[in-house]
Amino acid sequence: MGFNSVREYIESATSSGKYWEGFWRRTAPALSVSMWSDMSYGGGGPAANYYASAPGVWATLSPFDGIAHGPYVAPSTKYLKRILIVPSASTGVTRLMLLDYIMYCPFYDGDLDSEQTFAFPGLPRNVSGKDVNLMLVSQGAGGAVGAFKIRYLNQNNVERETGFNMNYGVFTNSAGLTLQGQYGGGANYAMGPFASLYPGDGIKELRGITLSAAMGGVFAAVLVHVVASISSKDNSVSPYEVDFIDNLKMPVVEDGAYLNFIGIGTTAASPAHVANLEFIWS
Amino acid sequence: MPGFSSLDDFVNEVSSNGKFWRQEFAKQTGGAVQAVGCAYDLNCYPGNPTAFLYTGVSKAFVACDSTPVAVTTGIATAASATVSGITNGPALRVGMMLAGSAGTVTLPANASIIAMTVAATTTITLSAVTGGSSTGTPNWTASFPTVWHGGNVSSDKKSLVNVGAGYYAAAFGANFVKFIDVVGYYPLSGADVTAVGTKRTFDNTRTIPRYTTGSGIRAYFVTPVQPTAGGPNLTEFTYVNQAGISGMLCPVQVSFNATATAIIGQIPTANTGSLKFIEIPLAAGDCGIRAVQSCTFSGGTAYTGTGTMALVLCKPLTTLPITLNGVYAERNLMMQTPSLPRIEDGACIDLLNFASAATTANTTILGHVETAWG
Repeated sequence: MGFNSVREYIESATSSGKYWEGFWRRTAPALSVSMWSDMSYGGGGPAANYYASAPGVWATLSPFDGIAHGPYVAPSTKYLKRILIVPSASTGVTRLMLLDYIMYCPFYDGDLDSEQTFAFPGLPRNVSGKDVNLMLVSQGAGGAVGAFKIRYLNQNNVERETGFNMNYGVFTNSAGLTLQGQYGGGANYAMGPFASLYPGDGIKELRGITLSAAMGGVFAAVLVHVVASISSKDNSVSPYEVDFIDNLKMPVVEDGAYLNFIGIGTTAASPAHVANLEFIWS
Repeated sequence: MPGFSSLDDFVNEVSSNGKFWRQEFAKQTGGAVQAVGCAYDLNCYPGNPTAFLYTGVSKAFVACDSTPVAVTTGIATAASATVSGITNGPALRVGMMLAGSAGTVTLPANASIIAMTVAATTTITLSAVTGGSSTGTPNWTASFPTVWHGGNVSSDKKSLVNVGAGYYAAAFGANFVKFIDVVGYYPLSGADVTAVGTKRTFDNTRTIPRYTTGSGIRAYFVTPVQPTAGGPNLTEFTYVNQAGISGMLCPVQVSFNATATAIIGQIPTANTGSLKFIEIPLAAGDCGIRAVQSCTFSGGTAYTGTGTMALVLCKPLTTLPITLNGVYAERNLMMQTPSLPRIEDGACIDLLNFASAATTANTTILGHVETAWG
């Protein structure tokens, strides 16, 4: 942490003005029992993100279009201090992950079974690739469930290629759902919400995605960093809150981060949630 | 802990020395249904403290101070709008609310000082929502509204210890109530609301009276009186930062809500959708605003009519979630979320409200604050 004592934190956060508060509200996309929903894809505050940019071109999202977390603070370090989630309706037990959407490449073609590779400009944050994960988000439903493999450069500059037996995608998912979830049913068990990598790997550069067969649909490849996770306690409208300073470890939020949630529920339900997040920097 | 050297010291100051204040408040949510995803300044609505409409000379900064100033001499010379009186001190300011009456002087509802001129006697012009009556000897106090926090305590230091609020409404969604200290505001009226493409240069003759470096100070717009139509964009916002460096720019365009959404008392830059923020974003490396230099509205649709706006500078204190209808929420700022926000002398504690769902009009929010000092 960038704070040496609780007093220093209090002075920074409450007296020096080095804090910011963000709000978040979503009613879409619907939560799924088996698949993680990319909550950035739904309307509310902040505005919806549909990865609507040039196909096959890596792009970044503006930090001002995500959950507000304050200004750029370098050379200081910004931290997530607290999350409070308030369900607006009973949504089952819900798990939410706060992600930094580092960069994305939209409109991969679900009808191609050859490797799709696009010029990679380099990570703008987490540049080593450590703890960077790949999330595939449906932008248009396809017609099949099937395997895929990815070729990437890990944080140690070693190129890896996963096998078809490591990743399955539900390409029939509607827009806003991730392609990998908790289970795919039948003999195909996917492990979501992120693509399986070799142990200990993060992605420094995504070099290609190959489908085992044409699956249909279109999807975006999103490189993300997990900032925090939070779960509801029960199927009710009771709020749930995590104060990370109580855990003596506050997640770092990089300058320029686009923050939003992905979520999964124990019942298919409206994802009506509102959240309050607090950020501080030293 | 600010002002207290230990928990024992805190207990001693509060229990033995009585340095503690609890204040109840009750504010309404306004005459229109609160819109989904919007934010509101409860200062503009009836209740206790009373409604405050951010009056004053357009673009001239009004510094807010809750320290009461007694006006005990002078003669009322006009009906309803203007009272001539002699101030008994230098602290009377444009924007202050007036309370009390004497003789046959009746104060208009929501009376506030909108102009002062210095002459042999000082003329105080009242902003009247309804007319007052003439003659008599003024005998009132003037101050800016606040959820009372116990008054000025220097050389002790005061902290916010506990906050609570709750309400019951036919239509309700989870809400957040944000407690702030309003340090001042820039009134906007006439062409300063409706003109587009024109830079509004602010008068900073007066400066913020607390947190004088600007550290922790945030800015938001509010519409005390709804414009007739329109919803422009804030395309330029220039300020002096906490280090005294001028020319700092808000790094992003911000859009104002259209008046099709009832926006009396609303923070018109907060809503669902893109380019919406409750607080105006700061430039890289900044953590506060010492003064606002200028802003420009352009693009979108220009506001029309005779509505008013205010650009408010505030110090956020804490945020309280109200999650369930009819259930009182409370937060302890010492043991639960250790922070003990400072309450400076003269603080004007106000409430902002972020609505996650449509909330019934004229809903009353009941609540309290508890402060302690030592």
